[in-house]
Amino acid sequence: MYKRFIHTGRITRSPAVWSDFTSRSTSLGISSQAVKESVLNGDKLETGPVTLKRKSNRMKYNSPVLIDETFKTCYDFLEKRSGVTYKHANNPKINPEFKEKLLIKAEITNPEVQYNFQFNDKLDNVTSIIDYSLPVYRHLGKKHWESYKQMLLMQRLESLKVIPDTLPTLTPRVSVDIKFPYSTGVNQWIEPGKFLSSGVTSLEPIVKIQEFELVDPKEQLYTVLIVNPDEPDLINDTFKTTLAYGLTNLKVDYNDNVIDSRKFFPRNVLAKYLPPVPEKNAGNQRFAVWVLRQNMNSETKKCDVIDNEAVISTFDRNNFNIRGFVKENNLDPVGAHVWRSTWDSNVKNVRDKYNLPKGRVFSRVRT
Amino acid sequence: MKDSAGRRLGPKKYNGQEVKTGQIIMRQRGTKFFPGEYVGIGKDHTLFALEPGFVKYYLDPFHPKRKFIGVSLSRDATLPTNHFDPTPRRFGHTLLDNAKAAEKEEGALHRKEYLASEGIKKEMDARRERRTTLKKEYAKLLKKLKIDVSETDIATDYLVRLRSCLRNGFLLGDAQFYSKRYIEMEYQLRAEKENLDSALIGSKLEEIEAITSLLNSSVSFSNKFDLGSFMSESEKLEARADLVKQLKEVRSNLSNKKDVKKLRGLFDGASKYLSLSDEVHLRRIYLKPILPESLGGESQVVKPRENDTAKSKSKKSVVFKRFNYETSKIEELSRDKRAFLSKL
Amino acid sequence: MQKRNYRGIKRNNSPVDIVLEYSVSQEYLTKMLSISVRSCSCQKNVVNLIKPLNQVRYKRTKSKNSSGITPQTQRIITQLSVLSARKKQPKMLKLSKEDLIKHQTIQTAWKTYQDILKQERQESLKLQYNKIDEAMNVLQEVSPKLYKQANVDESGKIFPMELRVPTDFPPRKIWYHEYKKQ
Repeated sequence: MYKRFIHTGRITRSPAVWSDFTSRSTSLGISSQAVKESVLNGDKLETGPVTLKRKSNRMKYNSPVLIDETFKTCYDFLEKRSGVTYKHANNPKINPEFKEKLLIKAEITNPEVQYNFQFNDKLDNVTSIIDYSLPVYRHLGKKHWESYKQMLLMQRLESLKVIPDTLPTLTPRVSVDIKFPYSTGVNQWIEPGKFLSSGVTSLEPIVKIQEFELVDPKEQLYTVLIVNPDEPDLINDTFKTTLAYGLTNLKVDYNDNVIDSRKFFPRNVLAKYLPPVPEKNAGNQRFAVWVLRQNMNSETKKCDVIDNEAVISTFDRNNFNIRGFVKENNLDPVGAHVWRSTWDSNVKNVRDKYNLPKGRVFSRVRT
Repeated sequence: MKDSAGRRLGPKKYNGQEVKTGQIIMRQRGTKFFPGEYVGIGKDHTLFALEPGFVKYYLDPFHPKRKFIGVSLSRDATLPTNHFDPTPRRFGHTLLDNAKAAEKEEGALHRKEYLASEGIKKEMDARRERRTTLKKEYAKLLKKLKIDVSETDIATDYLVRLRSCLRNGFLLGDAQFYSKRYIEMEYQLRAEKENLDSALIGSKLEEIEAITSLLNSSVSFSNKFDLGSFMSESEKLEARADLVKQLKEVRSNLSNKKDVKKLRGLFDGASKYLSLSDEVHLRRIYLKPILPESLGGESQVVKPRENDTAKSKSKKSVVFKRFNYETSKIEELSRDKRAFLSKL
Repeated sequence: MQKRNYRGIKRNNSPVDIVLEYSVSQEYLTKMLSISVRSCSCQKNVVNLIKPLNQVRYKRTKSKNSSGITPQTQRIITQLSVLSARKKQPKMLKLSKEDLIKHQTIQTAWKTYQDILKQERQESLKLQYNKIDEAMNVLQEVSPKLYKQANVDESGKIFPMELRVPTDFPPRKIWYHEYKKQ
């Protein structure tokens, strides 16, 4: 005989994954309460949207019809799916790359994450808002970088022929930005290929290395080489490459990634900074900043350390073979940048400051 | 059959022949041969050498179905150069040995440079002067604040650079570090050039460190980048809380011009402990020229009654006209005089 | 037509944007009001509170040389303008930051939902196909004759055109006796 059971299924309320910050970072939510309310519960506000500062604009503004209701339904739907993805991600048997993909998938549809990323500074990021140690923000940052700055960089590297002239090629995986704060106190990130005066470049630059891939920031070490492929070589009537600046064994975090002298010690310095001092009529000089990952031993999970003292004897900084250096030390070029320098009347003073010999003067016309 | 005379087209230099810059290699109609390395193309598709070297006829796998003419810089080089090899380049300029000639060449400016140089020098000098006046000011201020620095020159240099770093938007910690590093590096370069004793250099760097840390703890810049005595973050917050309290008090008891003046006066020292955005925000709230019309849900705007005399109206309230969109009429409304900051 | 900021009073809190259009140009309106309000001391205030006309574009009525276009030419111009679609598009939607994010969320949710449905459809079709394939394989082994019949080419097979669409009520002519197959 079949017994009939009245199925009293409990209506299981789906866990509110995106409002739970016990196990998730607070940067995955909007920090400003007013804006958060405005985004998630916009219909409950009497005044207009909070992000419109002027009252007149707020009064004039009308939201699309029924957007808040629709949004709530969609939010719940996406949150539920995110909950499922989180459950899969918390499975201890999956490998880290797949786990990262799942974590990205779980948070990328979160409107708070999208708001945080789209409407805040991505380059000088505030960790409490955009935290690049989280896979979501790294993924979004990567997409943003690929949409413009990566393409710009590659265009500059190719059209200025930095790519065949220094290292053969580059698949950029790391976003590199440079700034010259010491020389003049100016706070400007340099666009690749920009002409910088000798005054600006008279003191060393700082390098911001933004990693987007899953690396071990505590173990992975980086090398920064600034190389000038346009130093005149009169003996062979051609050009030679010189090493302007070399740093090794640098540790770079996902958020705290600006390499200034607070981040390294004299033992990290492979070659002290020698400023660009182009000679009159010798042409425009390109200064390529190469960021390279040092070899990571896959068994021990430790990175190879470059012994500067041992390595210094293997190269001549006035005739630097960058390809040889990179090959010998098992370096992997992951990012680059470039600026250009040309002769100006201040070069004499820079040479003076660094006690460099007087600059040669060449004929204006090439014969 | 009608025909014209032959145009003497075709190759003028063959494979392996040496060419100088500008020499024509090929005359053609259209591009039978494409320009390769160090070969230029004219408007009638004439191929000519851009560098002295050796003509090479070759095929490039990157551009199938095309024939190229290039100039290699050495006889044994094969074109096309490998895609990932550095481009072979020729320097070409000759060194000017003669000192006089070198000097003349170095001093030679392009027309635009020459015309602009005066203006640029003027601006540079103006900036330099501004910096020196600032330095003098700061030296005086340091004396006034009784901050004992071993070397005022270093201290004022540091402060001037710190100010410009802050003006350019650096955070305080970064600005302090970059300014200090600038001072250190400038000194170090000078010391190395003069071959000073390393102990001396070390001691001087320590001195710089001491001076900068002393300054960091004894002076700070206002939000308008004026130097003043130091205020810690907690002090600033306290001062801000104090200010807000005072502002609220004065604002709620406004009755005459004196009070308004007092209110404005409260903001006098505020740049020291408020950030610019904060100060603007507070000014916008408390120095609002007209109070909002609905405070606490009640409308402060009142329709004047008919039997009110003109005198009483002018003493305590301000009358104005407004178009009412509902009744489509212009109506007279009155407001308490105290709601207008300028009327007090 | 310049867009002016107005310190007007919001009339109602309805979610739909209802803007009252004034069919008269702003200049004329100002004139009208200024005449009626000439005696008032606060003329400026009134003028400031005129609701601006936004969403209507006017023809250039004043030109440097007003002779310019004849009415006949203007008629032709308007006719051509009506025929072409140039610049006749709805106003650019400007969303606040929150609404933009909400809109993006709604779009992703809808897309995800549609993808799920599509996936289900495709999955079911796939399973059906696999089962058909399996069944045919079995049939081939069991009875090659029936298999051949089942495998007959049915390309070009369509519903007969003469098939009568079922209706609630019968037709006037019940049966077409004179039918001859084409």
